[in-house]
Amino acid sequence: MKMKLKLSDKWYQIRTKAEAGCLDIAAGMSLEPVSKKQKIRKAKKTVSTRSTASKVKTISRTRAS
Amino acid sequence: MSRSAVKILNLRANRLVTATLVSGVSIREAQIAQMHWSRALQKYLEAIPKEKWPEHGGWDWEAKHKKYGRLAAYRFYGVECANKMQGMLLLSTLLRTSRIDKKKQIVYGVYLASAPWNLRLLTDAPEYSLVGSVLVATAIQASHDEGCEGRISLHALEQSEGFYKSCGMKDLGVDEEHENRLKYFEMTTKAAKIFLTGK
Amino acid sequence: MAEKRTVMVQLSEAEWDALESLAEKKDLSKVAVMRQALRLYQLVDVRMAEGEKLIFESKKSKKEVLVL
Repeated sequence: MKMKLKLSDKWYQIRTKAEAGCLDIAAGMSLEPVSKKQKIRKAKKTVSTRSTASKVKTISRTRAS
Repeated sequence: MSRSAVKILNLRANRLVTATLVSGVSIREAQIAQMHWSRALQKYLEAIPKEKWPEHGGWDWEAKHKKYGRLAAYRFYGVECANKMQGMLLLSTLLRTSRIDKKKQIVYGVYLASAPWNLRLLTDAPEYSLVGSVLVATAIQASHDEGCEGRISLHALEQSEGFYKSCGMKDLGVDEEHENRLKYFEMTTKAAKIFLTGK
Repeated sequence: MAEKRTVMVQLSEAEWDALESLAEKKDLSKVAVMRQALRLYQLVDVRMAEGEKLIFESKKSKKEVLVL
């Protein structure tokens, strides 16, 4: 479907002002907060950055085996 | 699928830049956009408290494309700039009855979102603005194409309600039928005309 | 999607009446009603083929499963 959307320079000016204070623009028929999978990924990363030494040890042990 | 030129505001350079409005986003484009968006989102989430995490942070546009992209009733639109998808819209052309004028049919915005790096909710220095306005204008145009004279409807997330009010959409209150009890908004033909032309 | 194709349809009297009545009720053109019918038919067909059920519910009666 070919869009025939034509927006004037004035329109861009008006909308720039209107959007200035908006935090978000999302709309949806259902909400989906950050999933467990994403949270887990975040948690793992926190652990590995906190303890570099133990991470190295784990890697070398894996290599040895 | 078609592509046309629109403009969005590069907030860092403070100037309008040319972007591409993609009508009929492909599954490949949705996959790439989802990859960019989820990587960016992860970085923002690490820096902000959990209470401020967006309620739509788990939206997966690739999965949405797989579910809806094969059906003639749904259309995917995207705004592309700097080789990245800056915002996406999933529109239902399975027409519904307007709640303002029950004799009229209306096009429904199933999902609409901007890329994480454009959200003030996540960053003090968003990259682009006007993505949402261009997508609302796109929905109005699609409504005209469907014979709905610019009427559109959607369920706004709480932190986006102000944006849809700024577009001239009417807040019809909390929708008890919506699984998350979001507020339902409708744009009338008159409001659509004012939104697009200013009069 | 940019390309549009034309199709000619011959309808029975009952089908024509249904089309006219829906077009008037929904304030849509007859072509728009036909497009709606096709989109809805495809949606229902795809979801039912995947094992989902189509359910109607009213305030008075219990859920009613419509088997197509």
